[in-house]
Amino acid sequence: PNVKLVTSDNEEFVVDFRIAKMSVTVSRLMEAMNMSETDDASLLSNSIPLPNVTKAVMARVIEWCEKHKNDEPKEEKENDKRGRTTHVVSDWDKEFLKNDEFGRLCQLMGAANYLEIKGLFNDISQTIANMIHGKKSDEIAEMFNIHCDLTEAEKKEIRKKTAWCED
Amino acid sequence: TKEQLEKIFKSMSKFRVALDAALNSIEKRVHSYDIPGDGQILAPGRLNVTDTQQNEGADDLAELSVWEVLPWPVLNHILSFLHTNKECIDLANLSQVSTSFNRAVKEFLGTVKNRPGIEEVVMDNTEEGLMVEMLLFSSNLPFYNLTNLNWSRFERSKSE
Repeated sequence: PNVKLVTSDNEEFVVDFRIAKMSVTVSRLMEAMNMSETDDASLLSNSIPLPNVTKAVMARVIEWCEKHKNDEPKEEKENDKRGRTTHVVSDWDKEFLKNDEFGRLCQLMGAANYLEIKGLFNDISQTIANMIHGKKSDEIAEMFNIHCDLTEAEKKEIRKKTAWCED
Repeated sequence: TKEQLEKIFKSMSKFRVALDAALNSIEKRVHSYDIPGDGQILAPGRLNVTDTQQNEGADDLAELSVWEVLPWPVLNHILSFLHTNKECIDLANLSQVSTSFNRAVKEFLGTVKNRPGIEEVVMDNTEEGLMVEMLLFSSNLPFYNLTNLNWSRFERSKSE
């Protein structure tokens, strides 16, 4: 059975029921509309509006879901008692995300957050964390294209507080 | 009639879905500014987004704020991935990027501090000293008894 998803720019995507169910948000909406896998009429006559996702981003989300639709549901590791999160990004996922610019990753992450697709959300989080990892503040600023609005005095103060991690 | 009732029910279902979607959207937007701590909204950092892969909607992306595309809960999630033994240095570097990032890191550390068990970890000081150090650099946090810090272990961790 297929489910119709409609993006913010009015593009309709017809996806497999299993793929639709990978999104907690879509699942909830389907429940609210009494759409079930065994009721073709309910699936055919309804479509799920996704006002926070554009066509281009939805296509990427579906590509990711297609790849992972047969994955065994894995138990996400709880954060340890220090709140540290661990997540392993598979080779396929690295390849999938490697050519996305930061802006595109952010969009995809926003969609994963909105659609509540935890695996994709974690993959992108880890990818962005990896992009930040090992970079100095000016390199991070350049990557994010952020103008540093800290005054010299503020910078000095922060550097003083973070002196313990300077080379 | 039955048909009319069905029609009404169907309309109501569609309305419910639209309403759910709208509420969800509002909730996300509100939640994106739901910053723990003093509740102030982070000053936006500007982000230029260029699109070489997929052009649809690219114009809308120009000059988006980092915080518009990465709302607080999302950024907080990313920071949690950096929050490992050695990567606290990344957090220190992030805190020097801009006022926004400085605050984001502090807020993040505030949420870490408030997690159950974290104080015991800091206080017992039997494992990596870096956790303590990470908290140290965020001066707005109330601090702890540091007299028993295992500095030699910290120095070793830092040099690794």
